[in-house]
Amino acid sequence: MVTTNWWLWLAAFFTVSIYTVAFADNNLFRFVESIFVGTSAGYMVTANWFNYIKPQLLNVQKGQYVLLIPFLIGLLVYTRYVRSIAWVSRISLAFTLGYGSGFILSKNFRPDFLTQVIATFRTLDTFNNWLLVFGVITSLTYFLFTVEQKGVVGYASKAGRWVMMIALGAAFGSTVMARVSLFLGRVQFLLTEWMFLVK
Amino acid sequence: MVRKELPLAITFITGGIVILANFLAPAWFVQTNKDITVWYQIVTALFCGLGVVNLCRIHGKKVSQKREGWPFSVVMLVSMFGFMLIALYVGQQHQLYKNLYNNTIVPLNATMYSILVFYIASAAYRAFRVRSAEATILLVTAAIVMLGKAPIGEAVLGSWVASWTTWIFDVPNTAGMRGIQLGATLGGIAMALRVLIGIERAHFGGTGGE
Repeated sequence: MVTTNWWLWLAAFFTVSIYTVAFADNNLFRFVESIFVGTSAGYMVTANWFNYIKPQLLNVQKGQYVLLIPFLIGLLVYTRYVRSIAWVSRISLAFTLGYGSGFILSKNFRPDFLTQVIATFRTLDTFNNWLLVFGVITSLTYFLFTVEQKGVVGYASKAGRWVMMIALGAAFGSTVMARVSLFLGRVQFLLTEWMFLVK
Repeated sequence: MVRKELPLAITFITGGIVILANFLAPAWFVQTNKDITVWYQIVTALFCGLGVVNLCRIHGKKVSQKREGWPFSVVMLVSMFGFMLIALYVGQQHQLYKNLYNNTIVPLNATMYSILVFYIASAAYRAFRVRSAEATILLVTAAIVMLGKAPIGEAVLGSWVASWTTWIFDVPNTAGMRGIQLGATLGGIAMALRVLIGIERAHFGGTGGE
């Protein structure tokens, strides 16, 4: 007993075709891989159209003509394909980089820096708190490029590297497990929704 | 002069408005910052077309020159424009669009990311082969976390695997990641300042002129 919903057949076909690469690279995988790249690019464009461009175009239609300026700035980036006026595309880049830099220096500063520093100031009453403060300080020492890394700084930097290796190991383990979850999800789809083998 | 100074001035003014709006918060700057955020969304949304243009240029060339694997380029271009045309024609709320999204993008995305399962063990062995103390620490931590997050780990090795995993995440992982984040944030701040002041200009490269 297999589903008669041809949409699910399509999803199952894509799933099984991609997994064939586990045995060897083959044309079926490359075919589906090309569909993946194409549909993803198509989705990205349409998502931007529906979420940002279309609503703002409607606002222009309602009389907010000032919004034509960002449309112009955005379209200027395509001048990079015309060699003689390619420099004009710098205006678009300049705008986005200006906004991004301002964002990093203002809005990002609190959550990414201040909050992290404040959270590190803990009462040193437990081993874990000591270890956490020690780990943060030694990790930061590793990024001290203006001081020669020898003596105490060298030892601290080495300890920091070890702490960061633990963090990266944990991140790696989590990533693997996330991928395993995705794999189980696809197998579950094939066995339950497509083949009705498991209820 | 215009080619160099105008983009730098735009960067400085845009960044300045965002900073002033967030730190000093006078009414005019706050409103302008809100408007600029909408502008930023429009500009970056329009940038997405660059990806499509580049894909068309690269794969169009491959097809026209009939280079190895050109039929796959045709498939890619047909999928891209096919998806775009259907989505733009029927709209996001139409059942056809929802079916197309749920049965192409969703399974393709999930499956593509999950095939890493087949390679990650061998890739990890090649990348982190136990050659140094650091590599050993990374590998041992990863093994404990993987076992701690899977039911089989606790069933075979006992509850210590799960509690060690929790401890690793709460203490050394927090410390290490915080160190990395603070380091990256400081680097980001330095780079943002360089861009804003106009010292960093590498991003203007490749567009001719000065």
